[in-house]
Amino acid sequence: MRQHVTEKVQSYQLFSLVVFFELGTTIVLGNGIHQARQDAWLANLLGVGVGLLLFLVYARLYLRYPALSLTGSLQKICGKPVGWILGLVYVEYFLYLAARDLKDFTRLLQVGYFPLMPIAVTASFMLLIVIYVLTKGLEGLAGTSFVFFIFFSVMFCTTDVLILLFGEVKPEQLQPVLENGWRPVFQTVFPLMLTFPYGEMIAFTMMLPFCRNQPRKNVKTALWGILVSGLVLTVTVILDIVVSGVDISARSSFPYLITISQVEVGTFLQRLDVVTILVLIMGGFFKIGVFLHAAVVGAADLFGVHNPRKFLLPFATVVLVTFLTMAESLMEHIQIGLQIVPKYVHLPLQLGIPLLLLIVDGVKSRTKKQRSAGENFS
Amino acid sequence: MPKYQKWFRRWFNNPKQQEDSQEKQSSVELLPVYPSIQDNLTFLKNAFGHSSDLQIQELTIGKSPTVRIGIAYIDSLVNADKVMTLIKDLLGKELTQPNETHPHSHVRDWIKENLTVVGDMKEIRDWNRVSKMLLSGHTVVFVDGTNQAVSGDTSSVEHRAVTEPKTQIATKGPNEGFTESLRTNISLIRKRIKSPNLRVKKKPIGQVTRTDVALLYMEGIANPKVVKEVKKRLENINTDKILDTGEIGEWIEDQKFTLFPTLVSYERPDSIVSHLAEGRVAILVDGTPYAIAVPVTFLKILQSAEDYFMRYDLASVLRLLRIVAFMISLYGSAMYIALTAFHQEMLPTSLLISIGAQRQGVPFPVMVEALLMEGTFEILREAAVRAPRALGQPLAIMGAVVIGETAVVAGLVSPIMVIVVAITGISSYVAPEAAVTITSRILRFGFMLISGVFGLYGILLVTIAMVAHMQSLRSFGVPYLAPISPLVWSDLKDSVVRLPHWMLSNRPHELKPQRLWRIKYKVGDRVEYDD
Repeated sequence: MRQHVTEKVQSYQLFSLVVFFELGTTIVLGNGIHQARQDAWLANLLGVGVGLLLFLVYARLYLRYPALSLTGSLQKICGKPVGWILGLVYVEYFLYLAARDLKDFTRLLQVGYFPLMPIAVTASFMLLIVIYVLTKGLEGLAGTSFVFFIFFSVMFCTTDVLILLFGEVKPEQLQPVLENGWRPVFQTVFPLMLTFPYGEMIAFTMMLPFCRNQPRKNVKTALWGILVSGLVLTVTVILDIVVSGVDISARSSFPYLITISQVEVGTFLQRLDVVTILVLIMGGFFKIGVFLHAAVVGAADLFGVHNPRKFLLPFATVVLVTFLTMAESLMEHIQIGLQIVPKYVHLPLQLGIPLLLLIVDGVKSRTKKQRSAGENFS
Repeated sequence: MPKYQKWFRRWFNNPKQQEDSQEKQSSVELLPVYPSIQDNLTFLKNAFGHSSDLQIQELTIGKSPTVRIGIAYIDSLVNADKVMTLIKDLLGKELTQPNETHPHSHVRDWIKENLTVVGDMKEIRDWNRVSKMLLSGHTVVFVDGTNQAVSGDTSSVEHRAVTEPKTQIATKGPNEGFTESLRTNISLIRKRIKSPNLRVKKKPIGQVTRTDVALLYMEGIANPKVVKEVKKRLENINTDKILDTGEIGEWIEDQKFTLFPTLVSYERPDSIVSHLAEGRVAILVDGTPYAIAVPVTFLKILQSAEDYFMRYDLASVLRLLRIVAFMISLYGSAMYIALTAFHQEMLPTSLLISIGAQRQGVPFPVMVEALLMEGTFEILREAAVRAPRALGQPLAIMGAVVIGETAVVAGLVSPIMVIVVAITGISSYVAPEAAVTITSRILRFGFMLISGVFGLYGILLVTIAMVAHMQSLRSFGVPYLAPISPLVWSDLKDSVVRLPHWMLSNRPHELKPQRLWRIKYKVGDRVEYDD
């Protein structure tokens, strides 16, 4: 009776997974407010554009080899040994990203909600649930994301309307526009926003081949997902600035939380803070889930293991250990995250190698064409 | 078959026992009926171990030539009047011209043609059939000199009259409920579906009980693949007894280890009929007033039969209410624990102060308090259901006084906890199906435990796992969360809400019915019914 079931991921499920992945924890943090201040919305709009362009690079790679995930196309383009090693690097990269996100997420949780809970406990619990959901495969992850997407969109729209209606909206707080010129805006977009969250879309190159059998439509869906999540981020940032003001937002670690707490409808509807914690947990969950799944599928592909689920438990353990040992202190973690990782890890892996791959592939196919053309003539 | 199931079977089934039971089963008498009635009757007596309700009479009929016949029946299963008329008929009638060459087979044919008082006349050649006919209330007539017997239906089994359903209560619509008789139940369904396309397939299941199990579906509407799959799973049932549809359910479910029901039993024929008309398959079991419909989805289980009988606006509101009640029964007490133990800042200040004042002097943490109260509630509920009728009222009063009053006064629990428990407890009974009630009752405790440890974080993460689990569930190949995931727009018309009947022009896509459209609109045409 299994033939009844479409095991492939449907496009709306892919869409919701992309949206959750992109929003992740960023929505609560006020993407770019800390760097670009009142021009954060400009930075966000610019960021979406750049993010879409960046995804077009991955999409081009995927459309060249619609049946292959990133690890597969690496081996196809670079040859077996080089591609295999690069694939392994990517698997480790995804694991590292999962651990990083787990760290960010549990830190936020600790600061905002559970000051007394050891982060190792919250992290282990999160990983446990991620493992369980991933045993249902990509379909399980994406399907679950769609169910929660309905929940999320209703919640998000209501909250935002309530904020607009009942918060103290002061549009003049958006001024002055471009107080310090374009420079801070560009600096926010590149490399910070480019690599996080948009560059992380590289994890989806591991999943697109397992989506519905229409590569072009899949790409289009993912692009829509990026666009929508970018707009949602922009709207959130604008609301943060307009309602709470730039100074408060930039100083706080949860601008959205402060914005939401402004809503008070009479005496009966107040304390909507619960929305932020729900959004934060959902975003964190799907982000970690996507990274772990990408790593697991990649490893299964590289080692020729038929059932990727076998990697779930060991990889989750690796993530947990990395999580526990990756930084001595919070400051060190943030320092590494903002200064070192974007330049030396994210940029080459998210932008450099995919671009190189495209170039190599283009050159290869051209020479092949020329060669075959030459053979025809001779 | 999943791996774990094989493993279970291997682990729990002693191979020796299996051989033993197979041997006994193979000793079924496939012997032909003897030509001499003396032999026949002795054999029959021995086969039934001289059971006292097996009645055997020998008669001589006709004048010249006379023929000896033997009549056998089980008097606890037959209608005595019918048997008496049968015997009178046999004695009173004159035999027609005997056939020279085969006088005895002539008598047999004569009996078959002339015994009009009983229905369902059959020729029997082997002992297997003889015992089967006797046990289903037929009277078997042996004729001396022939190796064939004749059986006639004289059955009359005591059963309840058709009454209102007890468990599946509705305020609108027909008030007939199924009874314990399979024949009555099928007739209740036939009465409502006047189409030759209603198919009924019967099959005995269970080595000891040999209970008749009937499979009903609409030819031309139901998906043949589903019908075939249900048939296959019914055939694979290997058990000694079937007394209720619940037992069948456990054998044929897709996923054995889940708290969510993937099939539901109904007590109302109109529910079963509406399922059949949508392209589902029904399973009826002799001896129980509950019938199964498969495949079902989660939202379908949360619906009630009368949703289709009342106006669509009211039905939609009630459906939404039911979903909200299900949520409350799942999350109510868990949310209370999470808010008071972890997220006090999310409560309005005045409420928080009030809760704090009430909890003053309560010796337990919130989670223990909640578990205690919910546990007591469950025990009281179970006692109230099982207790004799006369005790029900005192139990209810006792429960109300003990829980509502004394526990608070004694300082064991806070008053607000009583409110929370009462609301969650009552909410769980809004679901029209008992199966869903059980799901929410069990899961509630899990949510309470996890929210006592992790607060909202735990509740949401476990919910994510729960949704992932639900969305991996299948009921005979149909996704459990359809039409929400996978999303089918046209099926949303009859899911969380119900639109007016004239808009529900298609049957549910998720069932893949053979005829998708239940309403065909043709301008200027009269309505035609296709059979």
